[in-house]
Amino acid sequence: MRKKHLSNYLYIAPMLILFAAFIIYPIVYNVRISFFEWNGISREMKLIGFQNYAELVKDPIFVRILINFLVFSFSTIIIQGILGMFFASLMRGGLKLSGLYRTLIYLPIVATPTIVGSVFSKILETNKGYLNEMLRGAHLDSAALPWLATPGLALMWVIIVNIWQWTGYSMLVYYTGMLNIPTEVYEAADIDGASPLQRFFLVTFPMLRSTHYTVFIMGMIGSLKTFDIPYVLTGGGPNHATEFFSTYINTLSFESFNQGKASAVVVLMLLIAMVITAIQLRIYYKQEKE
Amino acid sequence: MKRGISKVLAIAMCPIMLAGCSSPAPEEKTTVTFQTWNPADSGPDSPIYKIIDQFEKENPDIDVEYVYVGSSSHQDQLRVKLMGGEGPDVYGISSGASFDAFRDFEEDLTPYCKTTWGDNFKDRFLESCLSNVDDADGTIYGLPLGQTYAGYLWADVNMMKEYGCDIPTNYTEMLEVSKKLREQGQFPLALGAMDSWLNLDMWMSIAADCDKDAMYDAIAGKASFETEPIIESFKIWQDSFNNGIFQDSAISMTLYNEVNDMFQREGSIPMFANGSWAMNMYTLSDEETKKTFNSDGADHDIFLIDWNDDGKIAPVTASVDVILCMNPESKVKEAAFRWMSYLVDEGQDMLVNQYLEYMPSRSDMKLNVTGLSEDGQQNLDYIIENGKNNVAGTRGIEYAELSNAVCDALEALALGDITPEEAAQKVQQTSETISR
Repeated sequence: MRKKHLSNYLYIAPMLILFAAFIIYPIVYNVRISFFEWNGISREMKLIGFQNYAELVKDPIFVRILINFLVFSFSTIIIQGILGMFFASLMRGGLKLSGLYRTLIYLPIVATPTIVGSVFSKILETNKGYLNEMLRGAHLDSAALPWLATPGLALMWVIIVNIWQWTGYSMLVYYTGMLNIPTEVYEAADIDGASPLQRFFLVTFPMLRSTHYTVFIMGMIGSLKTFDIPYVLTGGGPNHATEFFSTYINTLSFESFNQGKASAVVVLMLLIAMVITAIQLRIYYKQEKE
Repeated sequence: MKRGISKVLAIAMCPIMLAGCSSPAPEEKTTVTFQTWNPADSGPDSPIYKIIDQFEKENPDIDVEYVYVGSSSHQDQLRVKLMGGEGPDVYGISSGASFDAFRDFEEDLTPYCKTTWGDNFKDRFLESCLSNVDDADGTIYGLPLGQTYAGYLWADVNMMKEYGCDIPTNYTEMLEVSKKLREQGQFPLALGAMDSWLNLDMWMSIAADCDKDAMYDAIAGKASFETEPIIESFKIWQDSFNNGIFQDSAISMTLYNEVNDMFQREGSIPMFANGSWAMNMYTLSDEETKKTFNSDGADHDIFLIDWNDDGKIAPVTASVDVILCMNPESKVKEAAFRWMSYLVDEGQDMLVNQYLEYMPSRSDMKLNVTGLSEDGQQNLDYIIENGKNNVAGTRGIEYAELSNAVCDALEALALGDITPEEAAQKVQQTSETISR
């Protein structure tokens, strides 16, 4: 019996070793160095306890990051979800050339963030950018704004560009979810005389509940990790208006040589991710029970 | 049977033994790995390849393995490699905070310098460069490859004339010129203010114009940032945004490659802010730059203005462009230093006199740039003149957190989020927390 158990452990040993080496060790190491003052390069590290965390709590940039995370995640998830569902419904409804549209909507995901950032920088530049030139051409000079140089507008554009890039993903997830809804349910709704809107709101939307959860959780985790678009498009600016966890970690670690504080941000980010995952698991198990 | 085998073996051994007699076995080559972001790999014609070829010809026992990593990730990669024990033998690093941060991975080069150049080796380098590569005790941890000066402005003289403008000499004139250019739909002085390092360069020049001692004393922690000259410099900086000296939304444009391309390649803007390193615009081989800078009648000026209108032009700040360091864990230190010294000597001759990548860091080096147009030569003379007589001090702030605090304050000022007094107060608060 013991031998049998031992052999079972041997089967999962490679996975456990990899998990310990590439997941557990970096996390533990990160937590450890968050208690040190360290430039990330030198051999000397100075133990300072919770000082990095105390500094973060007082850091106005960190507060800005938390606000940005909430604004970014909720706007992205809601708008992207609505758009994704809308496009998926069109595709599911037998729209002509739906294969082509699906590809086109999905295409931005394939583009590298550097290209996306560079293209949108050219579009949004204040003086000679395409958007403002277009607006001026239409005699809408007052609408030609400094899009990336105004804190609020810059954050708005980071959100818009992110939605533009990732709507295709939401569309595919919802499309797959819609394919799993039995046609009998729609037939029954038709017999009951449901209008297309009623069909959507009373049948499709509730039956996509698990897809909504997936889109929400993936969106939250994705928002937590957001780096590329703000980094390329705004560099986290102006004046930290588009700063996110990852961009700040990058700045602290590689520009300020403050690895201890950067690790403290990582730990806090990890805690937030754990809370989100806990919520996800709770919902999942609740659904399983039902 | 045994005898037969012995005979066969003896015959087979003959050529091997004879080969051993004929000439000495070729000496095994030492490979020196060299990682840097600068000198860059801009294609097969890059000067660095010519320098390596020449070095390997003159030092047939050494192979240089050059690894180019773009500036955005060079330091990050280097850090991981060095900490993992797989760092290059020689690497380039920027001066200031980075050079200090990598100290545990920088070999003390003093004995190598003494052996190669003698006890007076320090005389070979400009004083302003040496102060960038040593510590408080005078120990040398790097070799300076090229000097750069920051705080300059550039103008396309012909374009300025087209718009009816002269090159401004002070803040008031700059204000008038900017207004005139704006009225005609043109950019005023273009600044890639999304790059915090450029903002710092510009501000240091302005602050040094107000009072260089006040600025450097504040950086060194000997004085407060909340002094009149520093507040004045913050005010000039903020006014330059508010009064339209810099282009609209300058804060959302990068120098490379947005603003720089507009001036260098497109030739579509009349003025921009960039350092002495931009002199390489005269030597770059791409067609667009050539057309803008070396076509008939092309006329560009590098210039400084009097930011606080007190009658004297602003000084520049100086730093080593690339510091060459040796990995203390290198197993080929002698060969590595031979490459480093070659790059600083013969290599720098080529990088400066053929490509104008930097200004010289060596005191004995003569500037004799080949193929430079008359216009380019005039600008070079201007840089040399200011390099001799108008340098305020070191470029940049060596304390990373203080540097970030100043950059944040400059950004907030540009957006009008804080007043100059508040900016000075914020920077001073950070200054008091850092250990120098």
